Amino acid sequence: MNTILLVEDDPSLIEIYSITFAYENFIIEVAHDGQECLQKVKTIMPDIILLDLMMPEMNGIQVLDKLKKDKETKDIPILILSNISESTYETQALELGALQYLIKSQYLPMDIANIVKNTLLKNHINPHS
Amino acid sequence: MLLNLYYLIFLSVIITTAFILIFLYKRHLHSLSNPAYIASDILETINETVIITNAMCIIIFINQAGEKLLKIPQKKIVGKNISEIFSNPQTGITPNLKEINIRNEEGEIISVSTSFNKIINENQNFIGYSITLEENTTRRKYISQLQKKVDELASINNLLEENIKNKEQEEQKIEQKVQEKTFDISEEHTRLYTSIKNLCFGFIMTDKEKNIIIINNTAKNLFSIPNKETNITLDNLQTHIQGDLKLSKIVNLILTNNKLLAYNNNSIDNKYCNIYLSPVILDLKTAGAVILTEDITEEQNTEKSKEDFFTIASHELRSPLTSIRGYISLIKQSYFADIKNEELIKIIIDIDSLSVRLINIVNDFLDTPKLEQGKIRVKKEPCDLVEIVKACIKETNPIATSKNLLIKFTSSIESATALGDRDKIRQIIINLISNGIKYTEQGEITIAIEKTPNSQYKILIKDTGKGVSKENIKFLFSKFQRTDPNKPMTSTGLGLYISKLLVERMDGSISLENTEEGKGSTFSFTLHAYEQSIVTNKS
Repeated sequence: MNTILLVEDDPSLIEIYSITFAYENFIIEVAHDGQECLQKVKTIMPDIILLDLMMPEMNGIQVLDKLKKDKETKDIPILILSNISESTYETQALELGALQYLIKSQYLPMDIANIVKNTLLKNHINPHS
Repeated sequence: MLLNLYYLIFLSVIITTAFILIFLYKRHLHSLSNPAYIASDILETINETVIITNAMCIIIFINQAGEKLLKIPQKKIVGKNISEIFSNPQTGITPNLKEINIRNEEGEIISVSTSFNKIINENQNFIGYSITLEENTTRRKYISQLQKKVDELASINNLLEENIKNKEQEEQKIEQKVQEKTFDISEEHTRLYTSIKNLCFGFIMTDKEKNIIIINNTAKNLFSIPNKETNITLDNLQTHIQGDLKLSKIVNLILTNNKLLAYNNNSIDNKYCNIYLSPVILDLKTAGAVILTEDITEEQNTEKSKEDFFTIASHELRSPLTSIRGYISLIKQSYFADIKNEELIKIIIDIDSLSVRLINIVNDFLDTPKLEQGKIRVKKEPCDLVEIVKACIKETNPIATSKNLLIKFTSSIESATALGDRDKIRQIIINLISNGIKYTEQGEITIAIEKTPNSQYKILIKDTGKGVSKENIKFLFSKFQRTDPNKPMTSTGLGLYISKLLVERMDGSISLENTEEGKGSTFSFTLHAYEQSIVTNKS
């Protein structure tokens, strides 16, 4: 089973994505802010990270930058999952190495699950292996 | 005998000595040291007629010029009385120059100017006259020539005087003009200097050695320099600039390249400004540079606040809506089978469609300004239009079905790869299909894809609805316009406007193909067909 690290501070969305990903046979780990993400990522070593941008302590762009600069974590595929539609954030995130920039409100949880599966396949990670 | 011999010798000596003396005397007479000898030669060479008489007025000498004038040989005239020469001989002869007429040998009357001078010897006795005659024709000729020259000189003099006068007048005029111009320049300078001093733009002027020669108060304020401060250098200003901008370097660029330059969004002492540079050109040479600074701190702060508002609004409005939609999605996916109450199922479906509508409204309001400012990222990558259209039909089918409308894809084409942003294309198609459903009460919505001759794909969305009235066609793609303004408000009026902005960002165009009231409308939009070679060449 693949492990997803969901970096999200909204409890409702954590609940919704957790249920959906569990239904799709993913192991889901949650970090509630950027700091927690950086602490957990090396112990969990997830197959993919879903990263929110607007979070307390450290925003998603800063977390992404740190993850991509770290040798141990730089190869983990990262999808940005945010409700900010500013092109500056999107451009910055993609430049820093995020694979996709998804506006949460435009996707149902199942759609996100499908995108995650496709991303894992593209990165030669067999979903559910 | 001997006595006779001595006497003979003595006589011979006397005679020999006498001859020698005579010889020496003759030689003396003909030498240059004898004035009398050379006087006659001199008189012969003079151009004027010279006549010498004795005290009895008998002519004893006349020179060659005289012979020529009177046309009488010297031999004939010498010995005659002077009165025979002059037709009207002067009595009481004076040395003054007089004009008289004389008759020559051939009887011609000649007008001459005469000068009679008495000759007095060393014992103060009167011994004769020396008379000079000058023919008046020659004299007059000279006088006339002289007069002509005098006249010429006089006219030249007049001309010169006139020129001097004109020059003086001209100088006065020039002086007056210079004074006027100096005054104008001084006035202009004061006006310009005051304008520059009070300009809302910062104004800095340098010479070609990059020394600051003018800096106004606005520029001083921007660089936090006291107004009284003088001797400001570019290096002084540089210390206030944050970031990579090097004033000295960009002024160098201006001085060497003579081109206008602009540097936007520079940070100077916690303020923001745009910097514009221009060369100062005098007599086709660069004499310095002008640096204009535009303080945009307020605009930056306003823009930042606006951006912050949109960022926060996007996040705060969309997050709960995403959760609502997410929860409903979970219910539909996992718990629908457990719900037996039909009414509850309908309520849940209604909440779902309302949440979708609300998300769309929020998206429309938040995204429109950003789309207008180009702050929404629109990708241009290969997208399969057939696949997107089919997905959109699937997505909108429940709404169409609820109105008993049929929705179908009518083209037989299996794939159509266009260049664009998959999500934005989907948004446009959903918007056009939703519009069709909204304004159609019976019949169908059909979607077709055509390839145009100019390598584009045209996506056509046709409905069998009420059509668009002529007066509404003009404003159809404008902001806050609805296809049917008489219909109760159920949309923001931004759908077609956003679709237009999105299509244009993908280098396509959107239009109302045709419409007929009561029969329906066809909307279409175009996108560039993806051609492998074009993209390969570009990359």
